[in-house]
Amino acid sequence: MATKQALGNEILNVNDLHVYFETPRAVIKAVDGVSFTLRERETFGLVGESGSGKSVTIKSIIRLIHPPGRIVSGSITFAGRDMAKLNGRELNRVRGKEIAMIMQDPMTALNPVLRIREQIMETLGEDGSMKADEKLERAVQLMRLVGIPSPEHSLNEYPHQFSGGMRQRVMIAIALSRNPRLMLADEPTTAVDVTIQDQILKLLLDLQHRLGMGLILVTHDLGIIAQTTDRVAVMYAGRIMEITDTVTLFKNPHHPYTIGLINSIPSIKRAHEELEPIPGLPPNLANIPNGCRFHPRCAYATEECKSGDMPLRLVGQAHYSACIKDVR
Amino acid sequence: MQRLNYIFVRLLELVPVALGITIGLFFLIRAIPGDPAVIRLGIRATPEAVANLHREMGLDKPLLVQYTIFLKDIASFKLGDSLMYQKPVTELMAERVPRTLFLALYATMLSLIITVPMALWAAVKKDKLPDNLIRGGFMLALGMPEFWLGVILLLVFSLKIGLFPVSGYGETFLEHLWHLALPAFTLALHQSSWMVRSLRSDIINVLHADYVDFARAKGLRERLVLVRHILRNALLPTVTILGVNIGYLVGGAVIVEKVFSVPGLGSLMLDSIFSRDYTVVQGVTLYFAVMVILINLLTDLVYSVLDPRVTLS
Amino acid sequence: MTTVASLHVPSKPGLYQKLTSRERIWYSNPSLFWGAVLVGLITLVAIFSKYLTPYDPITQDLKNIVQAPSAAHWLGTDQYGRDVFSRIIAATPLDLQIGILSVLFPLIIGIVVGTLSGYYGGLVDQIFMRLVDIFVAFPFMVLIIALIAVLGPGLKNVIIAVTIGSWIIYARIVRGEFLLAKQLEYVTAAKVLGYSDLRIMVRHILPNVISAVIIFGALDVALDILLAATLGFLGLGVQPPTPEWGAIVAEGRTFMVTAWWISFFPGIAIVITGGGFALLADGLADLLRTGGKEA
Repeated sequence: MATKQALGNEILNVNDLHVYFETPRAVIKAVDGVSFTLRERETFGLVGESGSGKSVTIKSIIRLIHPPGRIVSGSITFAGRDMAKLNGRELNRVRGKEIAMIMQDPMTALNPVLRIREQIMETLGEDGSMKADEKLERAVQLMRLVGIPSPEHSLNEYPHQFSGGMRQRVMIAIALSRNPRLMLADEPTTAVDVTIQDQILKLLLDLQHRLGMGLILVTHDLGIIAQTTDRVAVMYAGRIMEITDTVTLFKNPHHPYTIGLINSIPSIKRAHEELEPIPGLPPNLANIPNGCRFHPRCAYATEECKSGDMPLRLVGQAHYSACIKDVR
Repeated sequence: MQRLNYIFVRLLELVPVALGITIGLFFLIRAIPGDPAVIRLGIRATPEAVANLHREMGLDKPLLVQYTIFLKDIASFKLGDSLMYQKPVTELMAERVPRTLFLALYATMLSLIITVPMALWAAVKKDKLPDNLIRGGFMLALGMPEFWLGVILLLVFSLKIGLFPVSGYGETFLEHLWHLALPAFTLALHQSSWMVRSLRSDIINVLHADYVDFARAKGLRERLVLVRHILRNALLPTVTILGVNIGYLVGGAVIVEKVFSVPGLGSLMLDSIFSRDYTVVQGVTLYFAVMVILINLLTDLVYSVLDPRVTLS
Repeated sequence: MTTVASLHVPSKPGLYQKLTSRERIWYSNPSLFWGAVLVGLITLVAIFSKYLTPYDPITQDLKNIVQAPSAAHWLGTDQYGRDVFSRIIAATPLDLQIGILSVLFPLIIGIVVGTLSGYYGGLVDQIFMRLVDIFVAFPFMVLIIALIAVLGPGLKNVIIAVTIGSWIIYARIVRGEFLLAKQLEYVTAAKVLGYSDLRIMVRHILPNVISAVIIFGALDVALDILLAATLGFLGLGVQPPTPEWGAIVAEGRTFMVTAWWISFFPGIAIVITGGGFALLADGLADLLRTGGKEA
């Protein structure tokens, strides 16, 4: 991996974010008190199972939450402004230009009836200053940047004519087109083959490095976290369980959930042993257990785990955990 | 190239279908009790006069022979002469077809003007008051028979308020618009009731599609997202419905033409059935069948242009 | 600043929580509810129509012609002095019958033909599709009118004519569903297990086909009631003096300016009935598509 650049100032500060989905049946607390920060050029990972709230968290950053979901409380400060309080026009100015997002499934994220060329150029059009041929040139440039062969020809194609990996690259090209300061990647490798996954990740990191962007990577795959991130937060049932730099997380995990996740990764070295999944299922987000959210599945849980707030506490250098015990 | 092949094959299919329809109708209409010669001459006609007229009309020959003559006529683009008016069927049709087409296009325009904004509004405000009102309203409209709606509109806007003329077609373009306003609206309301339901549902499906979110995430203005991403995709199935509607309207909206006394193809057809004018009924039916098939073909072609994922088989 | 208390936001304790899951189906599906209410109401009126008419719908009363709506005659009288309200009530069973039977017969025929065509495919299917093409390009109104002209007017013939004109649409729907179902895995699984063709058809595929057909059928009842009224309007349905909604509207045309109520009120009856079935169809569509659960 290329040597990391020095990290810059803090550009994003998410503080005590609560995002709830208010349905007639119940209130689903998808994100229930999440806080973290990001610095310029930093690669931050958000890892957790399905339903842990990681996607909702990053979608909230650019307020892409649909009713009945809404940001109930908390602040999202980007470059000094609270995103939760921006009006429509200001929000649109931030989206795409300062914060960009790539989504999980490139097949559904691209408009099926428009050519690639149009989908790139319309993004560039929001800046208002470029003329048509300038935009086209820039589009070709972007296609080259993400490694798509015969860019001029490919621009005239439709999304369904590309392979999954190519579509993902196109999405990245579109996201980067206005040189954003922060890139949000929602499970960018989930929908592609394992062989392509690697290419995409390398591409993302390379581009991040070149353009000096911050990157938040959401994934359920600890392997990807290990390969790519500087810092990582482990989410469970709408809350962060543990947050620290990546190396420490793997070398010295504190929270039992993190430990469980790491242990459940199949390892070539321990090929003779059985897989160790975490027993039980994640909780129903409309009915979260009292106390520590993880306690029903935790091998170390005791009475004190069943009630109380469980905020993150400092357990090491820049290492926070929500577990009140010291299990290791 | 592939498109041309496709068009050719579809046009070929036209032939057996049109043939099937003409056979069906040919025998069906002749099965209706009642003698066109008697109708024309009146009940008091003498048997000789009737027999003479039969010979003149070509009705004395056996059915199969009559049919072969009919086929031969079509092959040379003749449709015979009207038994009632004694004018060539093509002539009768030629003067009426433009009026029906005008009405058809007028009604289609109106239905789009009504449908798109209503469906959009209902979709965006799903399950809230505007949505429920719109859905309920159009549901009621669905239950309104065209003849009744037409009669009521005539009553209120023509007879009582006097805003629109009671019937007819008018001379100039503007007069056409004026005379046909009520019938076009009656037709449009009916078409809209169908289209609003399906368009609303299509828009709802698209509203939360990933690519719409992605478009917003790119920072595109909401207006652009709406037109280019939402509508452009949501309107696709409506194109097909429009095609079917136009196909139906082109054949002459029989009831509406009758209620508003529009001298179009529909009223010609209706009158001809009642007066047993075989040749006219055959001619108009053939025209209608051909038009429906052509319009279906056109709709499929347009759809394949609008949606690049579709391949024509 | 979060306290323990604020973490536990109670879910909205609305009416919803208090309903059983059966009741919820109705509550969350207003179309189904209101559709069923309207249809039920109309059916009751149809069944008990004899007892609900304040006046005899057929006897003429020439002293009272063309009376405006009043306390004595709620919807006025027509040109023969007959009470409009009674006539409309009396026409209810007629139009309802036409609507329902005009759907039932094509439905049955359509299911049989569609099943055979869809399941076996091949030549049978090819022939069928040609037929579909022909019927579809046929001007429907013209076909119906011509058929009635051949058969003669009257309740029975209207039903026959509409059956002939519409069975193919049902067959096409059923065939379509079969084509879809054929490719599904559970059919392949059943075949591998050695189930006979008939058994697969009836017990495995048919239930899914039924819901598609029911949804369409409910809507079609509405359309056929409109059609029946239209034919009545043209004088092709039931013959006078038997009351029929469309026919009453036609009768009232001549008196439009002086006695608008004759043409107006039957239409309202049609709208309520047609609208009711359409609502029901909508509600059924919602219900059957989400498998009885809410979306």
